[in-house]
Amino acid sequence: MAVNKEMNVLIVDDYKTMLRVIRNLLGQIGFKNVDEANDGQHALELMRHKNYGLIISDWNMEPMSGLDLLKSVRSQAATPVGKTPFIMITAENKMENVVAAKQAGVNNYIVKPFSAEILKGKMASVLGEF
Amino acid sequence: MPGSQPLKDGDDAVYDRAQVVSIINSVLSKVETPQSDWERRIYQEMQDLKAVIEALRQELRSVAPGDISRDHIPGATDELDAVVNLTEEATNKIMNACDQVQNDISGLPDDMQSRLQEQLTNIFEACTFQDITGQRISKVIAALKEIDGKTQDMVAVLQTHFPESGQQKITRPATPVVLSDPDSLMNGPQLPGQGVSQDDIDRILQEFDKI
Repeated sequence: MAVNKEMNVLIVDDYKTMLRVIRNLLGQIGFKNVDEANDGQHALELMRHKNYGLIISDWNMEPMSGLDLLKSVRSQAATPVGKTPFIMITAENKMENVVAAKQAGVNNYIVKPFSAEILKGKMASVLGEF
Repeated sequence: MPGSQPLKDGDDAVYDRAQVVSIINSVLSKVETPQSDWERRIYQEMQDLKAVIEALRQELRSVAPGDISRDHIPGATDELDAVVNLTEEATNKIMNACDQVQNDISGLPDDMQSRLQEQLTNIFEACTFQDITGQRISKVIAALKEIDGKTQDMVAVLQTHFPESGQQKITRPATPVVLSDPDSLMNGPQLPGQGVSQDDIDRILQEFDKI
């Protein structure tokens, strides 16, 4: 099934510049409906009011980290929210981080700094080719 | 640091600095008029040893470890915060310029648009440096705060042995780590709110022109 580029994408990062970079890169590959949150708690609030086809989140945020956000999303297994594709984009590149994210149910994991090509490739692996 | 170890005799008794100085003074007073070469040599050695111990004592007093917590650590963390803020501002300016170019190239031929778009993407990708450097600097700030904590522990210990070191501000005689020297003309950029703005500079220059 073709990927619907009109889907809502939620990007979560405590650095405004990163949010802007990711938004721009998403725009270049055709995803224009993008909302921003600056930590996990803010992301959960946005998710209560809108359905998202993809969450792209940083790890290192206060007060609620990306990993806690992922766990919170996955804990809602009985709802559509609990199955939302989730990509972690982070500078945390230790093996234990990757393992913990995978165990919590992450769909893909991108290490900063990253390129548009990498973002597109990881999104395609999660959502399907587009 | 030479002479920093406590002195011990054969029975492992430990002498503090004052006791050592007292012993040296006692020996020196008994050899006040050295006669032979070896007496003069020992006399000189003892004088040198006394000078070393006095210098060490002065050095310990003048370390003023309280300065580290009071001035140096907060100064350094403020400077690092300023680096994060300034790089964020600069990154936003770069991205604003890219957005503008992105809008302006829409009327260009497709191949040229595509080449320019590729370069704009490269610039946006490079802008992720701000996030990475920000996180690294946060780690350095955390490390400085850790050092600050240890320094405060050290101050507490030193105040027990050198009460004057924590209360009486004695500036280190050697060149200290100076973050901002008001007497120098080479202090680097000032923190926001500490220096004068471009508008202030323009006004000052205009005042000079009127003279």
